[in-house]
Amino acid sequence: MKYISKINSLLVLLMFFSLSGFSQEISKKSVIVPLSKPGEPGKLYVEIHNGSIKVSGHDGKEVIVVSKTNALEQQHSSNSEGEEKEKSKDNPPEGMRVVGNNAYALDIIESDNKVKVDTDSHYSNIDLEIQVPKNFALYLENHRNGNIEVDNIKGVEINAESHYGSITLANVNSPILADTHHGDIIVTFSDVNSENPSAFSSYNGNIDLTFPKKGNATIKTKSERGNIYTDMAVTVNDSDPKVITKSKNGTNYYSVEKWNYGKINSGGPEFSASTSKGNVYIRVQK
Amino acid sequence: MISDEALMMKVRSGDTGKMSLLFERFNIPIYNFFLKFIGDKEISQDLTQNVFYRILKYNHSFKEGASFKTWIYQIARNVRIDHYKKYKIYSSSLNTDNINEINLTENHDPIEKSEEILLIQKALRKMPEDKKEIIVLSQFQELRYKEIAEILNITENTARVKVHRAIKELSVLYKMLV
Amino acid sequence: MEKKDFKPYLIEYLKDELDEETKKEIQSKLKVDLELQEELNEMQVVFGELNKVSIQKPDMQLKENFQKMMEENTAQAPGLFSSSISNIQNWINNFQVTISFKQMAYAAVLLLVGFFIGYNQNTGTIISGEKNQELSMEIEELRKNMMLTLLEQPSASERIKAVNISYDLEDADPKVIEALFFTLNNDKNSNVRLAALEALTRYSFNKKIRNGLTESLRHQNKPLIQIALIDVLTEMHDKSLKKEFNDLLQQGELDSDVKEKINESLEILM
Repeated sequence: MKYISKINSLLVLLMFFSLSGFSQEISKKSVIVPLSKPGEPGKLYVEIHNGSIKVSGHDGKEVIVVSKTNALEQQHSSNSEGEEKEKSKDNPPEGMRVVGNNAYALDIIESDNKVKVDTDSHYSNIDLEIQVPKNFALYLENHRNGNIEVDNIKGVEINAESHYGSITLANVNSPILADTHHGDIIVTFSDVNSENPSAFSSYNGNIDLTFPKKGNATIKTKSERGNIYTDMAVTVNDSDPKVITKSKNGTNYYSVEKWNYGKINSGGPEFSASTSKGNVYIRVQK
Repeated sequence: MISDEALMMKVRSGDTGKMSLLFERFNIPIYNFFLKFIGDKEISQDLTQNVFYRILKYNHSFKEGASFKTWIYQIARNVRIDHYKKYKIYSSSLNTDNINEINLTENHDPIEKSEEILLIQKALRKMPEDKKEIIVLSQFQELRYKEIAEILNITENTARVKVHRAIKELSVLYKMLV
Repeated sequence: MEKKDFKPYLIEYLKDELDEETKKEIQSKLKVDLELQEELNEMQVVFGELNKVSIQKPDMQLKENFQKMMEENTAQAPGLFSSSISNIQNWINNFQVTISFKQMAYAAVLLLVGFFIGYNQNTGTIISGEKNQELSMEIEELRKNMMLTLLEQPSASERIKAVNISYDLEDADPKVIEALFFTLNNDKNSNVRLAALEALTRYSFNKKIRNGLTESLRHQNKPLIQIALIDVLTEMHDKSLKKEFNDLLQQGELDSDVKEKINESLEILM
C-alpha cells in the first residue's frame, strides 16, 4: 500500500540528506534496502527519464541501489548553453564553500517487498545499477535516453519500456513485456514455462529472441519493412497468409493476416514480436 | 491500472461489482484514518464498513470529474463526526478551546494491548481534534496539501500552514513527554 | 519569491514533494538560516517518531462484512441478468478480490467446460438443443466476465491474456468493447494497449468502433501506439480521416516517425 511506503521512504530519504553533505564527489550514491520479508518474492519498480537501468539478480536478501550521475559534464553543458543565470545563482555566499553541487533526489520506497526507485532525472542523466534477489518481478521504464539491461532474474514477470534505448534481457523467464521505439530488444530466455503470453514491440529496432532448447512456445512475428529470421528448430507455419473476413450486414471486409506464426517444440504460450523497420530473429539454443 | 474515478463512475452507472476493487484499494487507509483517531479496532472497522456502505448508497452524489480520494475522505470525516455525535462527545472542531480529555480513546483499549504505545501517539492523543485530524490526514494517509485542502474545504496554503502549526504543537507535546 | 516564510514548506521538503525551485531556495536558505535549520531538525524528530507508528491491517471480518453487504445489495438490485447468472455474477465479483491463482484455476475449469460443451455440440448428443444454448450463453457470459476481471490484474501479461480471451467471444458485447477501449486508452503498459488495439481491429468495419479509434488517437502519446492506430485506421479507407490526420500533423511535438507515417497514410487515402 502506497501510504505505508511513504512512511518508510522518509527514513531512506533522511539517509540521503545526511550522505549528500559529506564529500565533493557525491556523483555516486549507494543504498542497501532491506526487505520486509527477506527471501520472499518481491517487485521492483523503476521509472527514470534520462539514464540507464541495469538490474541483476543476486543471492543476497536485500536490494542494492547504486546511482551515478556525471555532474561535471552536466555543468559544462549547461554553461555552454549559456545559462548564466543558473551559474550566478550557484555562487556561494561570502565565506562559504560548495560541498554538494549535484543534489539529485533518489527516492527509494520499500513496502511489503515492493521496492520503488524514483529519480528526478528530468534534467540530469542518472544511471542506476540495481541488484535484487532473483525472485523479483521487474517493472522498468525509461522515458527518454538510456538502455535497459537485466540479467539473471527469475521473478514472475518483467515489464521493460524505453524510448531511445535498447532493452537487453539475459537469463530471464517468461512472461516478458518489452517495448522501445528506437532501440533493439534482445532477450535470452532460460525458461519459458509460464502459461502467460509475452510481447515485444519496437519501431526502428530489431527483436532478437533466444529460446531454451527444451521450451515450448508459439511464435507470432511481424516486421513491416524488415525480415524475419528463424532457426531450423522453429517450425514455421508457411501456409498461405490467412485472410480474415469481417462481415456486417451482408457486407464483407477482407484483410490479410499480417502475422507469421511458428512454433518451438510442441508450441505453447504466445510470444509475439512486432517491429516496423527492424528485423526479427528467433533462435533456439543449440 | 484503472483509476479510482473510472471505477467509481462504473459503480455509479450500476456496475456495483467494481466496489470490490475500490474496497481493496482504500479499506486499509480508511481503517487507519479511524484507528489513529479512535484507537479502537472494532469501532474503526465498523466505521470503515459504514464509509463503504455510504459510497454504495449515495453513489449518485459522486460527481464526474471529482477526485475519488477526496470524496472518500470527506465521507470518512462525516462518518467520524456522526459517530462522535452519537456518543455525545464533541469533537474539538466544534469546541476548539477545550483540549479533549474525555475522548473515546481513553475509554477503550488503545490499538492493541500487545503493542507498545509510542510516546508520539500519546502526544497525538492530547492534541485537539481538528489538529489531530490534520496530522492524521497529512502524515498517515499520504495526502497532498491540495487534497487536504479539498477535503477540509480550505485553501492549499491554509492547509500547509495548518499542518505546519499542528506538527509544531505535536512537537511541543512530544517534548513534554520525553 | 522574496521574503517568504519557508517554515510551512519544510514538511514537503522532507517528503521531497516540492518543485525544484522552492527546493533549491530552501536548500540555499538552510545553509545560512540557523533558525530554519533548527526548525528542520525539530520536524525531522517528529517525523521520525511518526514514522514509527505502524499502519494496521483490519481483520478479515471487515472484508467478510463488506462482501456480505455487496451480496445483499446485488440481490436487491433489479435484475440485469436472470437469477442464475446473477449468482455467477456475484461469485465473480467475489473473485475479483482474491488472488489470481484462483482465477487461473477458474480459467482452466472454464476452458474444460467450454471444451466439453463444444464436444457435445459436435456430437449432438446428451444435452438437448435448448438447454445447450442456455448453457453456452452462460459460458459466454462467464468468459466475458472473466475477461473483464482479468483486465483488472496488476500483471501486464495477465491483462494481455484477458485481451486475448475477447477473441473467443462471439458477439461484440458493448461491455467488452468498452473494456477494450478503456484498456487501449488507459493501460499503463504499451504492449497491453497494442493488444487491445489489435482486438478492436476486428470490429473496425463498425463506424462507432472506428470513431472510438480515431478518438483514441488524440489521447495516445506513445509513437509506437500512434503509428499502430494510424495503420489500422488507414486500412479502413475512411476519407474523414484526412482531416483528423492533418490536424494531428499540426501538433508541434509529434514524433518524426509518426509524421512520416501520417504522410504515407495521407497518400494512401488520396
